[in-house]
Amino acid sequence: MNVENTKAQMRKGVLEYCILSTLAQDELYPSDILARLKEAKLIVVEGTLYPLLTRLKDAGLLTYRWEESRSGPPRKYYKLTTVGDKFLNELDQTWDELSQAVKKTTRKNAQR
Amino acid sequence: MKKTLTANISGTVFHIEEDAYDRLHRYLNTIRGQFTGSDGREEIMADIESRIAELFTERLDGRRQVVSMDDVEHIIGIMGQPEDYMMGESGTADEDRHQRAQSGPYGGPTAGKRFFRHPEDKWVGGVLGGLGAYLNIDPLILRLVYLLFLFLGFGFLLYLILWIVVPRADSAADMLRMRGEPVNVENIKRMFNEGSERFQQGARNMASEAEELGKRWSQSGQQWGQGAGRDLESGLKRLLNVVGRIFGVVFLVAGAVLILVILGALIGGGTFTYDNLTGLGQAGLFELGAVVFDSSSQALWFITSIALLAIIPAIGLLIGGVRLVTDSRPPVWIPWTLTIAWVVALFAAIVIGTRVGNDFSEEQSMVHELDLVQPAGQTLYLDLHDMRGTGDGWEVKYKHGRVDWDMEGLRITDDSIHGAWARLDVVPSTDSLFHLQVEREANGRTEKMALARASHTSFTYVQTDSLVRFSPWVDMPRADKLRAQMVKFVLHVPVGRAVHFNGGMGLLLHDVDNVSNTLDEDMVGRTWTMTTNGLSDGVRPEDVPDDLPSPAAVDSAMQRTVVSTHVRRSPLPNVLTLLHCTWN
Repeated sequence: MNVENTKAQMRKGVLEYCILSTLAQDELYPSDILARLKEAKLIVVEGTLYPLLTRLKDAGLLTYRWEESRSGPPRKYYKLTTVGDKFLNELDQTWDELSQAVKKTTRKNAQR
Repeated sequence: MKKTLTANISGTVFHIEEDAYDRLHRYLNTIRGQFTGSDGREEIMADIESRIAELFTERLDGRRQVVSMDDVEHIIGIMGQPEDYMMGESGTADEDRHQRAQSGPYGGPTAGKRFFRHPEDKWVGGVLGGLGAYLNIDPLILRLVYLLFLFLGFGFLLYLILWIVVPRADSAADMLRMRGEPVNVENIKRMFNEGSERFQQGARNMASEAEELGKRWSQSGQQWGQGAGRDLESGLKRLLNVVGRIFGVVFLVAGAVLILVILGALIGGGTFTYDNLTGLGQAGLFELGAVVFDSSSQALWFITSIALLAIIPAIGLLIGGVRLVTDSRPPVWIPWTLTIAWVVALFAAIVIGTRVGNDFSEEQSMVHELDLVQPAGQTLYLDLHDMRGTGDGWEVKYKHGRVDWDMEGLRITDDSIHGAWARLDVVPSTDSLFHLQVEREANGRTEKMALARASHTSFTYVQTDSLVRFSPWVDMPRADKLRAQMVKFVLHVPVGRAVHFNGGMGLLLHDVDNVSNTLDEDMVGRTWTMTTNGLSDGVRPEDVPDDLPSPAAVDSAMQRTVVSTHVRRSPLPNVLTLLHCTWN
């Protein structure tokens, strides 16, 4: 059992959930997503984001459209697909349950 | 002035300094390497490049023309280190693969794993590489454990058997089964994709940098060919290196300890102490040598050469240890000098040793009857003569009952050698009287010289009524050298009479026969009666049938003391004249 592996697994799930959440309202370009995640100190470098976005897109949860940019190459703007929307709703629910569960267990731990 | 290159990053053209280009190129290649096996690698790489192009554009801001090293470092700071790219994945690419191996790609059932020999991850036959894949353990750990087994002795055979019995994973399907991944079309395709992606990449690179890369590839191909053979060799070398170091430390310690012990023996005169008995003076190694060898310089030579014989191998050990531990070679003259010195020392030791040894070639002994007054009673009491009484104040010390030294006394003065090694034996008398004899023994080059030495040795015993006290001291002139001079008193006890050994006698008793096979040191403090079978402490003299004339025939009322003294370098045969008897 490797603690780094466990941490990575936890972070992976949470990251996916957060990325999908940022895209719940708006259509965003990776730098924007990153800005929000950076604010929450979830990721600090952009590099982490690209593989994730590609994977979520390949899983059919995200889609993107190209938009011309004045300051460089065209940009990919990501948004949720309907599948992604459902997926996110499920995750919302799971997250609530999970955070409840974590709270309970950790509170229990604190009482001991 | 700096050379710049033109790079097309995601459709935008940049002028980029050469070192900056190299840095960026390496950075992107490393990231590409991270995604080996990821389905969307090309897309991810395109996204990353596109973002980098955007960041460069922002940073140059139309005011600068050329991308510098600083800019590249800045961009890497924003994008993150290669390992950051895998943060969103589960750990490293390797672990990801293992994880997939355990659960199947979509949590589906895993096909049964099989133990194959790994065709690539191998040192020798790929047995441990395959076992590592099968058990999901880093093969390096298995290899280290295996080395342990190898030392235990049966590891080698075990490996050979596994090598023969376990098949090698030759096909892609075997490889998957070895890792425990389900054998389905998708996974096989992925296996091939991993391979073909590598190939495609190589082909692309070749197109753009055909000449340069072509050379490098052929070079690395050659290296790989040599490397495959070298792998086994380097593994063995590493193992030998570790073992060598362990031995090196052992050698170092052993050599150092040996040298210290030898030097300590040489320098510390007290190491060879022969004076336990007297507590007076010490006979150091060189002093002892002086009375064994013809001259003290000869002794010095002999001791030096013996010391060299012992210390040179110790130095060799030390040097060998240093060499094994530090990998440094000592200058070549050192081992040569040591070897030559050792041979010379060996030669000197043999020459001197032979000369001295010749002086031991003949052994002679002489026996003389000593004066002894028959005791008034049945029993003769024997004790240690504890005083030299000859004026130089030597004293034989002993603890009553239990003698507490284990080495012969030896004391050397200007003109004489004194050793506390006189012995006493008790045998049956052939007639009805007690008799005392002395047997003196010495060695020499010729019989005559041996006899002369034997006659030069002197000894002391004192009789007071029925008590006879013997001195353990044997004295000999220094000019005679130590040539195994021995003095042995032999007391003849008639059947029906007894001897009693007082406490100090343990020092003198030497292998005294008795019916109960009692050891010498246990014979003291008891009365022993001579029977027809030998000395016995189970019977009293009265119990022994006695048809011999009683000692009462000798005038028991008369108090007699016999004191024997000695004169050194006496004329050869007439020992009895040395004995001066006083009658009170």
